[in-house]
Amino acid sequence: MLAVLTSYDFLVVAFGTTVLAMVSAVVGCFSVYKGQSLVGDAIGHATFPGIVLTFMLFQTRNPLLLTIGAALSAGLAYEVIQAFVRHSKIQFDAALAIVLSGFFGLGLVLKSYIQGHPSYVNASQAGLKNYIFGLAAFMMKKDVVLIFIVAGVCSLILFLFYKELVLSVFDASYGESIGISSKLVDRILLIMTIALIAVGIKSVGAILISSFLIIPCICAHQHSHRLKNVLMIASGTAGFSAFLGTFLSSLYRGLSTGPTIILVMGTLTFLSMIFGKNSALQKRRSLV
Amino acid sequence: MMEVLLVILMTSLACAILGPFLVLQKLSMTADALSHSVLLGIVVAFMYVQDLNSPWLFIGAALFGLLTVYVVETVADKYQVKKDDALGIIFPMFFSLAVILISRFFRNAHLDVDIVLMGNPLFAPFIRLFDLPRSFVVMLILFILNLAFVLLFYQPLKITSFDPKYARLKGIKTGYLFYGLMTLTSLTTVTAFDSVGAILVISFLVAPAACACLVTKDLKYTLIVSLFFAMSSSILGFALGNLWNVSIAGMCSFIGLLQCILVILFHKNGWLSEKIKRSKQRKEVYRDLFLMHVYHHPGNQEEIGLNTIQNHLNWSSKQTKKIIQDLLKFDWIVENETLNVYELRPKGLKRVTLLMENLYDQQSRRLFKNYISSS
Repeated sequence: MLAVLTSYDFLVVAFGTTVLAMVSAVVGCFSVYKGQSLVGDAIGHATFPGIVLTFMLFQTRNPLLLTIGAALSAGLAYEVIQAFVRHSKIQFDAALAIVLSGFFGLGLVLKSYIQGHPSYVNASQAGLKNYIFGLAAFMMKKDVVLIFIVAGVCSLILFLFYKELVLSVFDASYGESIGISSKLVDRILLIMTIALIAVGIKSVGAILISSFLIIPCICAHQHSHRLKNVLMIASGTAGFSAFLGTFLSSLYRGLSTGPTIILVMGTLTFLSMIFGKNSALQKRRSLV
Repeated sequence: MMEVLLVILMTSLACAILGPFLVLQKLSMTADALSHSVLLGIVVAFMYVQDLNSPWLFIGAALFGLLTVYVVETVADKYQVKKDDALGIIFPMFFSLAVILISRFFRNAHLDVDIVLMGNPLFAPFIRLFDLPRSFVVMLILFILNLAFVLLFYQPLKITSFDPKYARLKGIKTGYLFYGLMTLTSLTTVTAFDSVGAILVISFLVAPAACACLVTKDLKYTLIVSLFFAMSSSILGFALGNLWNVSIAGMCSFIGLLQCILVILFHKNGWLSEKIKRSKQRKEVYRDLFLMHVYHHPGNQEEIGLNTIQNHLNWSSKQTKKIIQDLLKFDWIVENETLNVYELRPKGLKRVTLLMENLYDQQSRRLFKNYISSS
């Protein structure tokens, strides 16, 4: 059991997922407080056709190229959702559902196309399936480096533009009045979300990656209502869950990494809902 | 092959009849969550009965779908968590648990995550009931059930969808209706697993309904149009999927997305039609302005001269040329070479008098109304 903890492969993977989870949690908090928690879900699903298409075009599984493909298709999906809402009477959640399933469907179409196609026999496409559910065990040093770079850039942006982000999320009109373009801040937040999702799908999977953004925030919200504390608690919870989840999944056969991490996160969140200082349950008890 | 098409068609119809209510009540993402978490129900039921064809799987899955909805509603209601956030926690947890259970305990059973998620309609005809594919029979039953629900509770459903507060005041049991709708959605989702898979059910539930809501203004027609959109996307998806030998379920949902985009662009109040209408109206106003100008300054070479009129209207020469061409073509004005001015023809004069009398009034009213409704 302890041998796993010191093995090089485990450390590489655990390091990658932990860093990813910690930064995603912070970025996720902003998007949850903006009321956009399910956008991540749609974006996560929408990365899939981008990955398959990039693979078809370049016949390679180079993580950088695939990540760029994923990010581009996610960005396109977001634009389509926005166009739906702006230019028609379709509600936001319906637009999310349509785009999510449409893009994922396209991904399935492309994947089934290369499965039966002779010109893709040589290029190994076996790894593509892992992008749906994620398999951290297949993560290589290259992937971790990519995660590290994206996480580093995101942390830097968060650190530098913290004030602007907070303002545009909680009081956009005041922010506008002192000259902070909320449009630009939204854009930056969106790009960070897409980038994190794109590097994270290999380990967590396209379907579940959005929970990395949402769950830690809800968990932290049960303990504190001060943003700085929430961000810290969320990041800590996410990092801890990611490490524990990766550990468990490399210990037992058949525990996929993404789902295991999410189960750990979810359990912590439910415990927080019951015992957290600010949870509604505790508040009710104090009222009685 | 015909049977595969029948299965898909029936699935899309059963989904599309419930869709409008889900879309109108903003439950699209709830349906999405439901379609993910029924997987856990299937797995848990399979653990007990160890038989993939047992009806218990169906019941277990439907129960789990309902449980998800119930937990989300309760958490959102009582724990000050937004509904989106509650959805975002619960369905990934259920789904994760299901994926782990499958990959840890049922590696060798025929319960493959891929098949459950993505479905494979091509296998549908192999399991038969009454000499028909079983999925078709079950889907047909569900379609009839859904249709009966919609027809029976049409009035209360309609009121609840558009004005839930009024519905409660009126004494409609909105809670029962909601869970009735959710039960049927859950059952439909589980059944559709066989043929289209969990993720793509959501496309069949939402896409045709959302399109139908755009093009109709009466709920009755919305339902009918939704059925038509469902049929067109499933038939087209099936045909293309067959033609290129790719995933039929994936093709259907992609076609659903394309259909939505096309409807948004081209329907009566759609984005593109709106643009065309706008540019037509703008041209009309310019033409009328031109006519009025000519009418007000008869024979004045400075005001309506062949070369000077554009300065007085303050238009670009390209635009002026275009408008003049149109007016000449309509035979509303002529170029008077000797006086070097434009003159009104009888038709143009008629138009101007009409404008002066009442048309402009009506038109400005119409323009104003359009402006109000578009902003």
